Amino acid sequence: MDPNYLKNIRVLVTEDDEDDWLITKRIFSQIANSPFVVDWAPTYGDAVKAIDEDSYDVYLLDYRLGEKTGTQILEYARPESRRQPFILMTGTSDKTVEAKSLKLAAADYLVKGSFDATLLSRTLLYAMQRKYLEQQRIDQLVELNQAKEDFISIASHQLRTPATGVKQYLGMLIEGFAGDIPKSQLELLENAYRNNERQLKIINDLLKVAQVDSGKLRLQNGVVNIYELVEEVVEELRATIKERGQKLTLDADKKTLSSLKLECDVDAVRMVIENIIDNASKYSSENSTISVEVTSADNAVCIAIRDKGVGITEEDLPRLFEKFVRFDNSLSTKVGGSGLGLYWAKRIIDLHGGRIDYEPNRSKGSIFTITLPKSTKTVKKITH
Amino acid sequence: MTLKKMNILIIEDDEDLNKAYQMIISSAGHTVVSAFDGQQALDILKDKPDPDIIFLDLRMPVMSGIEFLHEFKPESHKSTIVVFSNYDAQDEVDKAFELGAHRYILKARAAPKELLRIIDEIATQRNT
Repeated sequence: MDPNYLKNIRVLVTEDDEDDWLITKRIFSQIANSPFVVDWAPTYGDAVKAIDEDSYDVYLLDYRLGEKTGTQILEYARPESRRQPFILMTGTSDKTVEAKSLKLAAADYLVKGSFDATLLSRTLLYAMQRKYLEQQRIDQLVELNQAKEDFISIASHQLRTPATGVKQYLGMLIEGFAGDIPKSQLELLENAYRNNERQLKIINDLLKVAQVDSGKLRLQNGVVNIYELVEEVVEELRATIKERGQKLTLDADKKTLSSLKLECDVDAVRMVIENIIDNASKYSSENSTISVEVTSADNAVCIAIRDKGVGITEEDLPRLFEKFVRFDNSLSTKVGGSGLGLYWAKRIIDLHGGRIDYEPNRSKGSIFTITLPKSTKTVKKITH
Repeated sequence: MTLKKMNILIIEDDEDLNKAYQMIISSAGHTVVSAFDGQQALDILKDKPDPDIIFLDLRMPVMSGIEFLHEFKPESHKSTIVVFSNYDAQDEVDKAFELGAHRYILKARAAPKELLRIIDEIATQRNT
């Protein structure tokens, strides 16, 4: 433990019985060269207030506190998420209380009358030491994770500029800025351009995910008619999907939906819908139909995207929305991608207070359903 | 209707991108001047104030796009300011709009045709 810790350790003893408090206080006074400064909280309320104010280094809680109990304080404080240890005390040894105390992440458990100054001091110091070491490990992990996120972000930014440059120059060649290009060469350039677009998409996916993971993403407040938004996306994607020899259909109860405005980050939701429809198409074979259906439920709007593609095996299902996950199937090599699209999509819809569900399509393929709440009251606080 | 040719200032720190934008824009007959950071742009604007359009990158060394907008004060000029943005730079774009930028274009979507289309759109607006 940091040696600085070994003086002025602020201890709060929560004890509703004044006589018991005086006994505990006396034991503290018997500790030789005591590093502890001890205060008394006679009620649950006093203890909770001190915990909220973060005023102490270690908490000693009596189990019986009038109508309340020490374990209720543990429930309130959630010691696992704090830097300070919480130690429970009871009048008599009680297996049930001890089990509960353990479950609620108390650092130790003492029975009154069975500890002296030495044991009390040791219990407190060792509990603090464990917390200290745990916190050091957490700090290291946080630092490591930050370094990883910084690396992804810096690497992606550095990759993006040259990739954007390639896009510009290829675009210029293709669009005839340097004169006419023979068809055979144009085809090669278009292949290069398409691959560069893929590369840029992966880089942008990485950056979008880094942003959402860092908690820096702030949803933009917008209002949109959800049916019109889906219709726009469908129209935009129709040509690409047709090129793949597939059909894209849109079905909706226009009457109910025409007047329905939804508060959301319009661009982000648009990208999510695009992403899921595009996935459905990419993982389906030629001549296949992708159908999109928008329905209105009581408090939510559902956008269901059905395909008859390769589907998701039961084994893969639990990892469907995980980061960097790409499943092996007959089309995965051809499709390529970063394995970040669905992860990002889920995070975005979560931030809107909605959800994305998966179910297998009856005959073959997948159904992804995006559910967005109609009322923004359910929208989670967005600014981190 | 033939649209008026625009005077355009490009502020972009990446040399290759800067050059590509210059080539694309000048190919359509517009007049282009380019700067590689906000400070250079301010120096250019002293001699040639109020271009019709300013394309402004946000992340640049020496003087960023945001710092440039602070100094330039778009409200006291006639130039239309188009910010080059990225998917993950929404905060900076918001800030740029607060400081008087008029529109933005995602760099990843700024293909030659798209760039020229935006210029034509602005030229039409400025004509009316």
